[in-house]
Amino acid sequence: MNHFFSRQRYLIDYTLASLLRRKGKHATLLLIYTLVIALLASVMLFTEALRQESQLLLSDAPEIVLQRQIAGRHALVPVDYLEKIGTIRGTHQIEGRLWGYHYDATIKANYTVMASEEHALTNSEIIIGATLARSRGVAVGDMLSLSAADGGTFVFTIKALLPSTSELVSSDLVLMTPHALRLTLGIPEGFYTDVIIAVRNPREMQKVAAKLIERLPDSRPILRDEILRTYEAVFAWRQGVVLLLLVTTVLAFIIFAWDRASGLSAEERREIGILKAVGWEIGDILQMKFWEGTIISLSAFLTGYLIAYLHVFYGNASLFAPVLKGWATLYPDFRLYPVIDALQLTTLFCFTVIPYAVATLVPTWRSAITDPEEVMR
Amino acid sequence: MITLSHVSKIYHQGQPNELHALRDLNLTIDAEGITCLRGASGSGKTTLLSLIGCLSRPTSGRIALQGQIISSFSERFLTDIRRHTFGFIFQRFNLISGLSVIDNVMIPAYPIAPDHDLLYAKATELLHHFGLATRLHSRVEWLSGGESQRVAICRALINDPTIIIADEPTANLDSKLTAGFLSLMAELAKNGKSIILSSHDPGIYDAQEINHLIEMRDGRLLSQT
Repeated sequence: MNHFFSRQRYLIDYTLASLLRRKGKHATLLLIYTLVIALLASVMLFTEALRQESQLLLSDAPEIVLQRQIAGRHALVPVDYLEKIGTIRGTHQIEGRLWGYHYDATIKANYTVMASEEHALTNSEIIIGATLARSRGVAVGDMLSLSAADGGTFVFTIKALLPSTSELVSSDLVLMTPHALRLTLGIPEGFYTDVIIAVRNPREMQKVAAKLIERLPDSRPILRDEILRTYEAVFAWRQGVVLLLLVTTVLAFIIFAWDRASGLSAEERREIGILKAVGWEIGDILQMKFWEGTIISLSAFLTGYLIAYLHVFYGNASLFAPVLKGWATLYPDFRLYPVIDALQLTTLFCFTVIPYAVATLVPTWRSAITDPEEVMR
Repeated sequence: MITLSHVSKIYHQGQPNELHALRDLNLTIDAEGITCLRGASGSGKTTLLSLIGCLSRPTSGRIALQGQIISSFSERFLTDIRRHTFGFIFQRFNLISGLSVIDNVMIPAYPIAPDHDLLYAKATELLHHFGLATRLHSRVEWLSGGESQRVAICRALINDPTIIIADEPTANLDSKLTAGFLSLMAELAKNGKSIILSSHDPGIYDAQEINHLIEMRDGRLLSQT
């Protein structure tokens, strides 16, 4: 076993020296290889992080959200709707929600304002998202003024910031008491923004939705699965667009890498001949080339992936964000919670590292099986 | 003792550029001392050396090394013989550019994987012996012709082979360096190494250091003394 490791050490030593001898060729290859992996990994990491965020968001989402519509627009739901819904079999935990949007002219952004009874807030206290706090330059204990629907201004004390584990959910969120929300957004008593409904048997969700439409014709029930599918479709579509744009880059790289890896120069063929003549076996030469391919492809893979990670989670994916996020959907800005998907990582590895390693081995094998006599001439 | 029986070597057989490099060669080389293959270009010297050194196989005939027929051995066994029995000094030295002198010398031992410190010490000792102590870490492309040749000799000796094969080793050297090379070979022969070299330089084949002379022409044996 010691002999094996010792031999591998010699082969790796030789490989490193060999790589350094052809610095220009290998540096160019490594640079392009790294960039391609960084681009692909950025798209994958970013879309996966968005998916995770959306799943996190929807994991706590109600099974059915009931909205009322007038002239095709979202309208407030009267309190008596809750009683009517309660009479439908299979429903339980029917709750009216109060929420809305508040435009802040200072930073030209919309906040999502929600009523919360869980945080023991007083009517003059709010809890806000981390991005909102950063945008406005405020912290816990500071005051934040919001203009009300009637033209007045309410001043709130910031009681806490929402945790930053998932800023997609909470970045632009403002939580306040139902009373404060009604005053701020101008929602009269006896009305809710929408209604959330839990269903006893999840398999009957479609049936309950049909009954809701039948009983309340001006309502629109939205199922959790529908929202999930919409999110998936939006992210998958965006990922597809970017990947399509990257296909030409990837193809160009494959041609480039194949050319670099598979075409042994006369000097390289001569070197293989010398090594065979001085006592290297075909296996030794193949192992040396295997290490060469592995060092290049693994370096490119790890560096590219690290660049992608930093780009997505620390650089806000500035290269792809406009395409993949859609600024209007998720505005204001937010930070994604870092997540690495093992399957995605393996797929990227298989599609980038293995083909290169194979591309280096085949031509070397073809050269290595010929007689080393050539070096005598 | 190396014995060749009815050995022929044909390149590009069956193609328009077919070439008979060796024709039905019968030869016995007494491995002791220095043996010189003499002949004009194209006489088959290099082909014969490559067959003896297991760098290629004969098209027909048998080659035996110390009584063992090696011409039918698999590639793996041939490599093993090459590694432990032969050391090669090529006409153009064939050092690997970009690497240091000491790395070039150690390369043949890499697959055997000896202890690194021992290998390094052995390579250093050889380079010292051949007057290259100050060039250990120089890149080989910075060396003169004579220095390159001495590096090639050190590389040939690193695995302690019993037979040194040198193909036109002085073709790129002046007469002073040629004489120096011959004295180095004589020293190796005195230390028990067998030297088989090829040359069409009278400064080599007429030299007193040569123990055996084999003359070739058109792929055939002309004379053996």
